[in-house]
Amino acid sequence: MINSLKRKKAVLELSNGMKFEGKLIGYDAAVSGEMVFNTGMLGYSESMSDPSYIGQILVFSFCLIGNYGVPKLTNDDFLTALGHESSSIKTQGIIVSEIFDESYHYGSMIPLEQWMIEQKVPGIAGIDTRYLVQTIRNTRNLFGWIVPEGCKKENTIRKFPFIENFKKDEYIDPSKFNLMPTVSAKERKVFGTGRKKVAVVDCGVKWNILRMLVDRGCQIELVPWDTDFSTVEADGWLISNGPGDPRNTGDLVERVKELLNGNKPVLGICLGHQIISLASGAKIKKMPYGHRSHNQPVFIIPEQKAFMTSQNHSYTVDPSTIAKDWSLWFENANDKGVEGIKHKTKPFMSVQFHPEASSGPNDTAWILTEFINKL
Amino acid sequence: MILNFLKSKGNKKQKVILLGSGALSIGQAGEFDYSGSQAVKALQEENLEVIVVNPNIASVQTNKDIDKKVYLYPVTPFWVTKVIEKEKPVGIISSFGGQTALNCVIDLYKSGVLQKYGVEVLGTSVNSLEMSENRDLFAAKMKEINVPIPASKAVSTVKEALKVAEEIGYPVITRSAFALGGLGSGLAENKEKLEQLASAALMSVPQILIEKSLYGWKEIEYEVMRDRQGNCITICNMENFDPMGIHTGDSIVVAPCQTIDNIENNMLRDTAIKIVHNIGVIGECNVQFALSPYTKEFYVIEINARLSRSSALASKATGYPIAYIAAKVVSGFNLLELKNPVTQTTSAFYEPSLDYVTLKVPRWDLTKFTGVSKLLGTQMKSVGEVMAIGRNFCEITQKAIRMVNENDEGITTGIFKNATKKELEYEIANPTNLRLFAIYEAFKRGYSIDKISDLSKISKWFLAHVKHLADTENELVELIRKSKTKTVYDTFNNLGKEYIRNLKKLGFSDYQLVKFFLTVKEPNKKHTQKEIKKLSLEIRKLRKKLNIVPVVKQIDTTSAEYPTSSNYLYLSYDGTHNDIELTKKNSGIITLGSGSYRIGSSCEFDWCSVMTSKYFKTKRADSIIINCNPETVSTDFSTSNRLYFEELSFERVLDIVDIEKPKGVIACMGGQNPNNLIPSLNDAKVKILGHSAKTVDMAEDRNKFSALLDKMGIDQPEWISATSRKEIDEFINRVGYPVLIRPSFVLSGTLMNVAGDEKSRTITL
Repeated sequence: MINSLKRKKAVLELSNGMKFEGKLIGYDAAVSGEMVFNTGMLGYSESMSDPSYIGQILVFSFCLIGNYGVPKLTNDDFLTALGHESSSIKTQGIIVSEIFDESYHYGSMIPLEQWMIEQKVPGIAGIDTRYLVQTIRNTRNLFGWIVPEGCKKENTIRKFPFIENFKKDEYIDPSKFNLMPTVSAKERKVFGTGRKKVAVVDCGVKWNILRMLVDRGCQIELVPWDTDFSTVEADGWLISNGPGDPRNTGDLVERVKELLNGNKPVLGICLGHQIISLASGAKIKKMPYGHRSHNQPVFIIPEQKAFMTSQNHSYTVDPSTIAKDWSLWFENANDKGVEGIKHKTKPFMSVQFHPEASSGPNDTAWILTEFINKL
Repeated sequence: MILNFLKSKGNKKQKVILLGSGALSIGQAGEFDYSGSQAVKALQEENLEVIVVNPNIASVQTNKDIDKKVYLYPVTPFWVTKVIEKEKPVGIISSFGGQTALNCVIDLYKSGVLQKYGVEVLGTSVNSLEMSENRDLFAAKMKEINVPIPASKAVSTVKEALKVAEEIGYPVITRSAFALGGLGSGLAENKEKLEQLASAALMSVPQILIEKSLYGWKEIEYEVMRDRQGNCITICNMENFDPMGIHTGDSIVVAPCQTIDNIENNMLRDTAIKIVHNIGVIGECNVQFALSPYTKEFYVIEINARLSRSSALASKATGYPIAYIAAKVVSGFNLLELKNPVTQTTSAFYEPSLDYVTLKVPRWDLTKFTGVSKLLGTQMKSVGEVMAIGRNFCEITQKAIRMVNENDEGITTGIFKNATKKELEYEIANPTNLRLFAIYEAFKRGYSIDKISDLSKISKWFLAHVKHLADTENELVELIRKSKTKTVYDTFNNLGKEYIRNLKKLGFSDYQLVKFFLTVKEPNKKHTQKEIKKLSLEIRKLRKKLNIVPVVKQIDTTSAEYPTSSNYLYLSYDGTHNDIELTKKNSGIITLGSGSYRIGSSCEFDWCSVMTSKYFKTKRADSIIINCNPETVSTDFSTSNRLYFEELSFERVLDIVDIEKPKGVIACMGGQNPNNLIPSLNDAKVKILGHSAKTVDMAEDRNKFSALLDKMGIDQPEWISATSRKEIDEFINRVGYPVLIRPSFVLSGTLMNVAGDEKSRTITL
């Protein structure tokens, strides 16, 4: 509920030639990114800090964003930083209809806009986000520039290394490059002191996955995406969520194949699911409309047991290519898409949705428990 | 799939009884006609013969129809038994007729009638219903599954009271167990206060209850649906603007929740689902929570394992037809087998996503009763409600307050303009139906958000928006004062396009803007509503020139994630793009609904609008409804070809006329509220179908009506039309007491009174 009259103008320029004019919020700089949206009504801080959104401009379809400020974040401590999925904002920028400029919630550290300024992330408010969502939905591969009044594209903010690959006024398409080096941990790191140890392959892992493993009594070894997996001792493997095209992840798929030759439990989440699917021999395709919401209905095929899930992806497994040792585990109740696959004999499973939620419903948190029980 | 025993045997359809809610009462009104009507439709589609038992003749569900029988009998065990004996149904449905139907079915089950005739209760079992209704059973169940409920314990000594309070934690409420009217009850923040309260109370009664006080906590509701399979969704969450302490029926309610974060939301959602699972609900259930404004602490307050006012509101707020789907679920379907009726392609196992925000405001008619306290509390007093839809909180606040009072000025009316500081603060701390107006006035006078939040316990997020409106009014009035221009048009033209667009985005009506102008520029002149409305057309002209017009948005349950052809619409200034393109121009017929239910205008006018709209839907396939009452059948999107969930105001109806360019507008089917719009719409060259402005005027204006009767030689009591006391006194001197004093153009005798003597005459006037 900013006093929008006193604000600087900003324009969203789209790669299809359309322009949306609004008011600048956050940091005063130009940025480019792939246009994506999320229809979740809460959980903006989780989404903005989710590494899966790297290189993207995120449009919130819900009209009022920032109502409860930004939750506290101390010393990058993932265990206590509920509401944060990494230590910083990962989206290039955000587009909202209205932003709330104060924060009155007891759990809030600072107002949303303040956070954006601190993290050098621009955004635009006063946009007809419903129209913009329709535009994104109807246009394959749409990219955008946030350009504040009087600001030149040359002065764009380049927070992440892969962006250096683009010319200064070019639209940024994150799926053109392997984003793993940008989002993955640089060193191996061990957390917690559980009886069982899970090796988490960091493809841009959300903190809530780590929190849930620790809460369930596991020790975690977080390993960089390019680690030689044979050097890691673990009771099981989790291939994490992450950004970009799963086919553009270097030799990761090849190395995951090795894990599938073994017998230790493996769980894949979102990008991790797509990597495991590729490693198992299935094919990946880009969807006509991605799934970007907190209300994706999925169900387990034989039992017809249904769950509400949080999702954010534009690639999916082609169901006709699922390998013969694997079976379809979960299906989407809306478009019949593949939501999860399971190995017929070995303890391998992977899901397209986010059992760690954050943000979104916790209906499928049991999947992490089931995985741990197999360790 | 449908349950086996509900399947037709050969050509013979099976019969099920659907209980209605009976006569309207406070807390149980038109929403059950909406729920019941949807259920009838859903069951008929499954080849069932529906036997409706409901004595409410003003309801849509008691309409004559094929595959439906209607018994206009009381919804009591005695009469329903008679229907069972005669019709021999295989099933009975209790969840669409409010508390009345629920109690009736529990009774019929306990007395063995249902077992005797082999009638199955469809949906939630009677055992589960009892668990949800009986306080002790419910508390035991919640304890078993680890869900916190507010602690409460009976004590008979002060010492015990202090011990219990220590366990429960301060503040606590004391209630006298056997005393009438809340005698001896009170709020104790600490030991000293409790000692004082308890010892005073225990002097007159043997036992008092010590209860955890949740006064000022956030009140949050979830609408949950569960099928036989155990699949469960929460369709909508809602947050009360007024914190705990005011009945949710008397609270202003926003959907979806606005002041809680993702973690709190999912914590409560998980709990709601857990409760519904463990109680064993099949169908719809409403779950109410109190959530601390300072921690993650919460309590479940109660659940309603049936359709309710909240579920009707949630249906209208999200577009998801809860009652329709619930009826399919109780007849045996699981949610995965059903489609979302709004999208028609996606699954009914779905939690709607909103890209707009809605606000419900209750309607009170407390002025119609003398001697009724206007203070709001734990007992519901409102008789109706409206819901506003928009893209920001300021916009919906403005819309909703105008809708509920059928008043073009809305929140800026200035009811507390002349109140003292003390009166203002008292109203804010001890709310009546007028609290929001007091808060607005306080902000106009420069009160801080902190101060108002301290007094009212209302969440600061809400208050910040009310303050923004008040600040905007103050600033605008100052700008008008400084302006040198003489006319409305020039003055606003000088403010500039962006400024006016911002005012409209914040929900200010043209009428309100003119009123600000007149208050500043012509403070000593009294203007009639008609004059102000005429001037408001000047602003309209200017806006159109500057291209500041509202856009039409769809309610589609998916926030545009999937393409839909939803016909459920609202208007907003907070947007640039119209969702719909009208293919058939100039052919629609607009029916104006009744607006909020109130004393003297309820279900019956909804029935009239529904019949009108359905007629045009069938005959012309271009029927349009405008209404803002979420408890109605007319706002079911299947009643018309296009539903505008909008204000029944002069300005908004003109907006929709501009968009639709209809063949005509029918304003005589929704009761007094739309009827009153006829003259101004007529002046604005809108084609009115049905009664014309002239005939309405002749019937409603006492003067003209009586003159007509005189002309036709029909007798009537002697009368005058008076505008001063002197005229009245002269008349009374001539005809003598008693006399009837009534205003023109009002509903069901508002402000109409019999004066038997001079004293009562003075009071009435």
